[in-house]
Amino acid sequence: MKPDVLIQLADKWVTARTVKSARQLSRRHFLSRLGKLMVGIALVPVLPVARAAETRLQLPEIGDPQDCDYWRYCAVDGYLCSCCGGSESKCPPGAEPSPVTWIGTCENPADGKRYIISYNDCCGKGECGRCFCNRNEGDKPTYYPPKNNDINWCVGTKTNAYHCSTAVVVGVDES
Amino acid sequence: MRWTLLSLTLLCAIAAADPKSHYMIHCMGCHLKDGSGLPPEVPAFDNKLGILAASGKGREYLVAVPGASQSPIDDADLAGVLNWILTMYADQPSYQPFLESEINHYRHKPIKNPARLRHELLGATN
Repeated sequence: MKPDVLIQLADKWVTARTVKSARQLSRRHFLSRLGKLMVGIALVPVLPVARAAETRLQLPEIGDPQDCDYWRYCAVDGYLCSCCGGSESKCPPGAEPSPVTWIGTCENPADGKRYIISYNDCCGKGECGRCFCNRNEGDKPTYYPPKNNDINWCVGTKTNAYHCSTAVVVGVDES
Repeated sequence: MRWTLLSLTLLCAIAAADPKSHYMIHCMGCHLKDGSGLPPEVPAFDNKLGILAASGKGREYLVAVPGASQSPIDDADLAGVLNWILTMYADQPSYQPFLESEINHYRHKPIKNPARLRHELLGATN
């Protein structure tokens, strides 16, 4: 059978089904409402609300990243990389970011939302020694390692020498 | 009206359940954003999850393993995040989604040696 014959057959079948369902189903029928619902759900990610979540790294900011009171540091324990030649989200030159990290959440006073913060340690150099900051929102005791900020998170790096801590916003807490 | 309410309820349920946030807060620190982990200490999330989720013993392991069972979220949320992880990283659909009741059943059975149990369950594929 030639492909164009197949397409014609499929076309006839779809046309017949559509006409038949249009004759048989009222506008208030379950299927037509279900169809609307499914289209509605599919359109949700297109709404501005969902798009805003994808560009969340451009968030409103208040405060000084070299100050321990800066909102992202609500759960940090260590030297701030922003005082050590890096920034609140980047390691200083020569220091390696630890892939494994502890994750907390902090409220951004500029918009009142809670954000998920990844406190990646920067490793491979001696202690920075500047801007020590120890805030412990959400911190749990050391017997609960995934939620503890006292332990050395330089894991998976070339050396476990701790230099400083970053506070990278990785998402909005919608839990 | 009834349909409007039903639609709104469904949409609210979709919006409220956010396993991705739970993944980011409770799992991503060690298993990393892309699930690659840090083997052998932190197992990677890959299709071995599908193998584990297809057997009773494997499901018990996935729930009772310390990172899952000790995460500070309730049974329903743990079921949600485990199912999200399976959907994201396991490519064989030969398992059933976790239910809250199943989480409750397995969660309180500590594993003495998770690494050894994982090796026993996965054998040569580990």
